[in-house]
Amino acid sequence: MYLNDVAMLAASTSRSKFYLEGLIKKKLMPAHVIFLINDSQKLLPGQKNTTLALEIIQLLNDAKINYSTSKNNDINSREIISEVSKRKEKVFIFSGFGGSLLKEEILNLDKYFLHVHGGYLPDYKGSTTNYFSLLNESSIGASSIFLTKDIDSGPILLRRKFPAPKNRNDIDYTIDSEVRTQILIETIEQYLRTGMWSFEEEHNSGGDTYYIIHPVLKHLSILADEALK
Amino acid sequence: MINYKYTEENLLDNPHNYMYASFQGEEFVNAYYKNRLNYIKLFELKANQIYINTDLFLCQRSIEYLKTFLENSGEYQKYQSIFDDLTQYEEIILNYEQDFINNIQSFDLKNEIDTESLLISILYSQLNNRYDKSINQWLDRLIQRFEVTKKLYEVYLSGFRNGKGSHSNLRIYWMLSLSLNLRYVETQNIKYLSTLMKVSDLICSVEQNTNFNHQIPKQGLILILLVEIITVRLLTNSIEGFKFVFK
Repeated sequence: MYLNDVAMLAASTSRSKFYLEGLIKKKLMPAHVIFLINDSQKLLPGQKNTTLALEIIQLLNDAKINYSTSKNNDINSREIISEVSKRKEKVFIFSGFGGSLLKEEILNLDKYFLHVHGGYLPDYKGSTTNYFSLLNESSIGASSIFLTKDIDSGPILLRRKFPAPKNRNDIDYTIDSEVRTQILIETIEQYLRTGMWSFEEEHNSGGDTYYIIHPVLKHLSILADEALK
Repeated sequence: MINYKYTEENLLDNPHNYMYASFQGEEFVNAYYKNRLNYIKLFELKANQIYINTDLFLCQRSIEYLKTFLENSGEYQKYQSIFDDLTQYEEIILNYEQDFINNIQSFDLKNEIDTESLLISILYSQLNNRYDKSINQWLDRLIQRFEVTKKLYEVYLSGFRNGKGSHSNLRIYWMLSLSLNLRYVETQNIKYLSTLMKVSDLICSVEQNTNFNHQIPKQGLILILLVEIITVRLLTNSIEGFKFVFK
């Protein structure tokens, strides 16, 4: 099934690949994918290796998903803004390079950007929050939101806590992407079931804002079997 | 053998964004721990210098404030003679003009903010157990500025986003670290610990690379690292089977 009103803004990252694999498996194909490719030799945040672009293009071709590519790392560039604005789809699944934030100009287009945050909102806003929640309560989370200018503060469509994974060695590229993909799929399935984007928590206020966890604490959260507090 | 790389380069000149740090097992945590102990030893060996009265006051009051925490960890006695050295400045500390410290309520986002005055005010409130919402708000703003830019400027323009003046004044990094230490011991909120470890990385990295002739009392430098490693040790104690080297 192709989602008529849903497109995707993807980048050559592990997370975009997880999203697409998950969506294709569930036959929930975006109507169009705007695919940002990092063609420099230097890996960008969220890129585990240099072969991701080819792997994702292969996925898109095999699933016969309509796409356009752009050798542009900047999600806020004029080129990308123009391309997004020309699309007829109202909702874009957002999966850019790690740490890239949508600025006001693109957010002000008459579109909704569906983002899945790696953390349970509103409690855990910001970056690497799943490592913090592992230390605090031995769980991880994911929450789907529509992006707004305030980081991780848009209305929450769906959120869930997950038990701490058994193997925590690859949270960054695998586990985090897996739980986000699961929430993304459930969010879209809910939309298809009800015919509308409904909110679990429209007022996503409060909670703590976290910044990239210090590497020592990241190690402790991986090594620990239970919450350390 | 794994090196703890986060203090190797001067982080004021080459900031680290800490993104996607790879997992290196227990050995990495032990490398961190040894690194911090080395810096504590280095600071122990420093001769007393001419100190700034405010720093002596904050340092002595912080040691007092954290004494029970340090005693419970079994570490106080080991450093007691160094901390007791501060008694030679007793007169300065006792006569310190606390009236000059601004009330935390007097800082306004609409105005230009002197970072040192703000931090002194936050620390003074913390040390006097005067907790109010504004301490958290200002501390969160300082954390946000440090985490985003990996710098602290001497002055912030109205709105507290754009910095002005030098960003190399280590005293304000030390004050932020001290404040975060106090806040973490008080709240056990790991977000404070995470930022204070980055601030400590920066302070150690500058020491490593420039041999800076700072005016921060060595007791103050030892204190921030000591409290930090004790909290990390307490966290690791909860990990079953973890072979943590605490020597």
